[in-house]
Amino acid sequence: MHQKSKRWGAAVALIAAGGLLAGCASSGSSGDVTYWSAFVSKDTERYYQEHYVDAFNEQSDDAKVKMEVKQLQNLGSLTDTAVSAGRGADVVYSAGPSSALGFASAKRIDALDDYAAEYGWADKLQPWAYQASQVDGTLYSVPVEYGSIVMYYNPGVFEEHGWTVPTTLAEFEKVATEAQAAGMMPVGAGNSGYQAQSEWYLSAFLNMAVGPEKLYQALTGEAKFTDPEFVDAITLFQQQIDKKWWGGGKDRWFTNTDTDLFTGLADGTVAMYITGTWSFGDAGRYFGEAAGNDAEWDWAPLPSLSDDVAPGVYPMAIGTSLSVNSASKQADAAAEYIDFVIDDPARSYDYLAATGQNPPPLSDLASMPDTVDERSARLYTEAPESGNLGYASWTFFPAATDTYLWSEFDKIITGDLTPQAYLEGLQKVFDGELAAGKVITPFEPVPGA
Amino acid sequence: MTSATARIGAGPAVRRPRRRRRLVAWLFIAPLAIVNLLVIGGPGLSSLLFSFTDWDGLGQANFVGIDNYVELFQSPNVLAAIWHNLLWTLFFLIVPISMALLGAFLLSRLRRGQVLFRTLYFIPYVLATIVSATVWRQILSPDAGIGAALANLGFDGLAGVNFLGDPSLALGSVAFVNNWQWWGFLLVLFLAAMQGVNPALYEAARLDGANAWREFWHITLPGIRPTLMFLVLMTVIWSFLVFDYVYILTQGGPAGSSDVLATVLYRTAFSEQRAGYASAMAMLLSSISAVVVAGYLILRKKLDWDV
Amino acid sequence: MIRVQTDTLTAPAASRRAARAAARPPRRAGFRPDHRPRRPFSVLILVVLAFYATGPLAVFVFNSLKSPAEISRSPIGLPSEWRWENFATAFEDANMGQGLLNSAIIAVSTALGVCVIASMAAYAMTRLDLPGKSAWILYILVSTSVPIQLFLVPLLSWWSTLGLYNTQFGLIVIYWAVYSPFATMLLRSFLLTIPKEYEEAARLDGAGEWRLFTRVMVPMIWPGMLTVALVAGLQAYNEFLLAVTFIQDSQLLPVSLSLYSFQQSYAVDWSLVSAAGLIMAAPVIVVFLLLQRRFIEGYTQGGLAN
Repeated sequence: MHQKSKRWGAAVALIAAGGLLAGCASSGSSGDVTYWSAFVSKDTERYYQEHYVDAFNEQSDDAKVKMEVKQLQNLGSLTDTAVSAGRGADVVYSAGPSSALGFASAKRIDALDDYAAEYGWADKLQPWAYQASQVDGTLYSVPVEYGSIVMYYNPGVFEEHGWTVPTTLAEFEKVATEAQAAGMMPVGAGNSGYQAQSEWYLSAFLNMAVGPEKLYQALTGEAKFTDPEFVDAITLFQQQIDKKWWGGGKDRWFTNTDTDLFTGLADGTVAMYITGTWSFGDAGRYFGEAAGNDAEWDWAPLPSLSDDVAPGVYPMAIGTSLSVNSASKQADAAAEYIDFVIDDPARSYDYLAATGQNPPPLSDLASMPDTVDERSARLYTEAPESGNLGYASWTFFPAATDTYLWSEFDKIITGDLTPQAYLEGLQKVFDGELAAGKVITPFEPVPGA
Repeated sequence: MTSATARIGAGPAVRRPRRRRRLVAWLFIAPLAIVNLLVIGGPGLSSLLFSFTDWDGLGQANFVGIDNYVELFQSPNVLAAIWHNLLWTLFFLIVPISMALLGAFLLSRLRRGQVLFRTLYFIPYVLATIVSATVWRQILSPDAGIGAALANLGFDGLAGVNFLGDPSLALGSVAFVNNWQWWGFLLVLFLAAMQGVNPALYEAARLDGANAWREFWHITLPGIRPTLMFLVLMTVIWSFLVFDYVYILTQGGPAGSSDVLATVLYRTAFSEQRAGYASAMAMLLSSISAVVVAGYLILRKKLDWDV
Repeated sequence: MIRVQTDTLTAPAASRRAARAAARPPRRAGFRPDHRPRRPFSVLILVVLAFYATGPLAVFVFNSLKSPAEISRSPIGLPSEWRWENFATAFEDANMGQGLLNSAIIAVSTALGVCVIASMAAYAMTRLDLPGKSAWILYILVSTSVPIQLFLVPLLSWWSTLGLYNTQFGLIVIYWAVYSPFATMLLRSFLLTIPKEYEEAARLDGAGEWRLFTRVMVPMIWPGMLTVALVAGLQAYNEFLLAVTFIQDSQLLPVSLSLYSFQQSYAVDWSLVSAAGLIMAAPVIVVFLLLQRRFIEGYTQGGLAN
């Protein structure tokens, strides 16, 4: 027995020694707080490094942060794998509170209530976002990027056709009908290359046609996704897709990319494009001098597609949340760093101005500087103040329900599935996840907003 | 044991005692066995265990019996995916293997330019999948791809054909693209095998007045049979594992029309976060391979193949 | 019928090999009689196939010379302006120099290790008294069909305990495991075609198995080893999921990761990705060309066939 374990020990030591030899370049001293991130461009990365990493290291007495840059496509999965295996960075990235919930249930991230009290996070953050980041009343993640879904349009094109921005179903239908008659794609949509893109449009549609109140009830289990409001909404959506309003119908939906739709918006072949505000920083590429045209873009809040829904709903989405790894030996320093990220509104808004990067959901709206693009500034002040907040599916729906939502929606587009059957399947998946405690508690909507 | 050792076997190898010979055999296979068990076998067993749980990939796993397997065989998406894998297998047993055999046979009879052609055919296999798949997505685009380009030249047979966006075409289009990358690799292997065929046999056939087809059928094919069998076997196994091109080009869409087991598995594990259920799918994949290999082993024994 | 043919094939092929091993002619004599007439039809088919294989590559090359905007405007046309600077940008932005170096280390180590592991295993499966040979075939082939993505988490914990996490050596060991089954089966089919007389003569001389293996067998299947090395090295070179999961230090990462580092906001900058893809493929194509003669000669000598 002894002999055997000795021999094993020797084998392990040998392998480990080999590992050390090969990996001698392993960097970062043990005292550093590690943080994995990914960026939309080198410039954004440089800006972040300077203003969020170097600046922190300069001002902090003892804590030092070391950032490892991953790729946007794999930051999430890498973090999941590493954190599940008890490794990963001290400051844990997650793509919003639903992902953080998984880590919290698995006890892979720490409860943050003590830090929240120490740093006053409840006051620094907008209430809906703080509430959504809690699991059973305990804070587990801090939202550091948020956005919404809005309607992009080309003011020149609207003027040319004499349209006003639609706020009701009737107005929306009028613009769509006229746009189609003029040979345009009335509403941009598509999911080529990224299947889950369908949920951007689907989230918007549910908020426009079902409304936050009903969504809240469904997400808390008080109502069912099979209720008439949902069936009517999906039926309406299916009809509008059949009429080739959205994305040009089923022949084109699976071919259009986000780039195609923005290009179409700029050249007047797409009338309206309903998508996420993360494109604010990016839309400029398709318009004006950068794209060699004289087009412009603007946005408006979503119209209402039902009498029961107030126009101008903002489906809220948290793009990035940060937590503290349970395996971290630097928990306090990690929390200090998280606080640094949301502590100074001016720093966040400067970052927004310089790179177009979404800011954290800060309660301080007043210090928005003039340097921020007017359209961004308008969004980040009007949305929180509107009180008409909705729910983006990727932030508030649990994983399997969300996946069902977009993957099976293909069959609604092709007509292979009825709205009723689609929603029954959705409810079934959701029931399972609700029972298993995988659904975050959504913030309460403002009634009648 | 000892009496077995004393038995007269064929050949001088029997000089060493059987126990020692076995030990030597084990030593020779040990490196493979160790790394394989360490990396695949051991952790793979954990998948077997997880396939009986509701594990989400992160937290606690609860035992759920055979629920996952029951769900597996009732899921229309999984059944559709298996069907697509079968179609895929059929396609890859026919198209790339025929192309590679034809190309290799013609090339083997070529006096000059073999190196050039062989390199050209092999290059698609060298390129990183992510890049070549993207190039194909552009070529197959209905607006600006090959269809539109041909239409500009006056040939509008492919104009507006939505290769990847039409549910009835998506799977075939992906298979076509994957074949592009794959057949050259097969060709290189076949060509090599063909060069091991005894030239005297061709001479004899020629003296009998055989044409190219007869040479191919009666000499080349039997001559490369071991290679052919091995690659047919691998083609079947790999056809059930196909992932890369499907995932990059269509992600299994539209409406699941190009979903294969691996894409469903990937979505289940990482998007739905149902690692337990995905593990059951993985077990299904491995079982399919096991059945295929077992079938091959039985055939091999029955027909007394030497491969 | 078929078996008879195989048997008649084996002997001459083996004697041919033996003769070559002795004489080592600088060039292999034409194995096809050279007096046959040219075949324009065959050549036509081969040319068509060559276009099929390389046509899309033209699009690939053009992409690497365009701007992203032009790619989305006209994806398959000629570049309006040839942006050679894309290559320099891609090389610098993704730190490809370091990546290529790391990849060379990883690919070569993988290739060497797979050769050793697979040839030893194949030898055991064909020549030695290994119990349950069919069971081994079954296990080895089935292990190629297990989706490794599913147990990255246990593997990562395990690697972390062994001190192999975040090291190139740890990644290489994983590649050994993942790429050796196919290599083993391929080498096994090579070994099956080598007549037993060779080693039996050596055994009579009292050579041990190790000596027999390294001095007699390995030289005979050397060509097959080259094939296996090429395939395993190539697979390791293009792999990225395992690499990015098991190595966190960006200084240690292979070049395949650079294909994922060109973002243009939320879209991917395909012109730089294409340029990086070409930079990445170039060394492999050069190696393939350099190995051509040995590679193919090898096959002819060792012969996958009988």
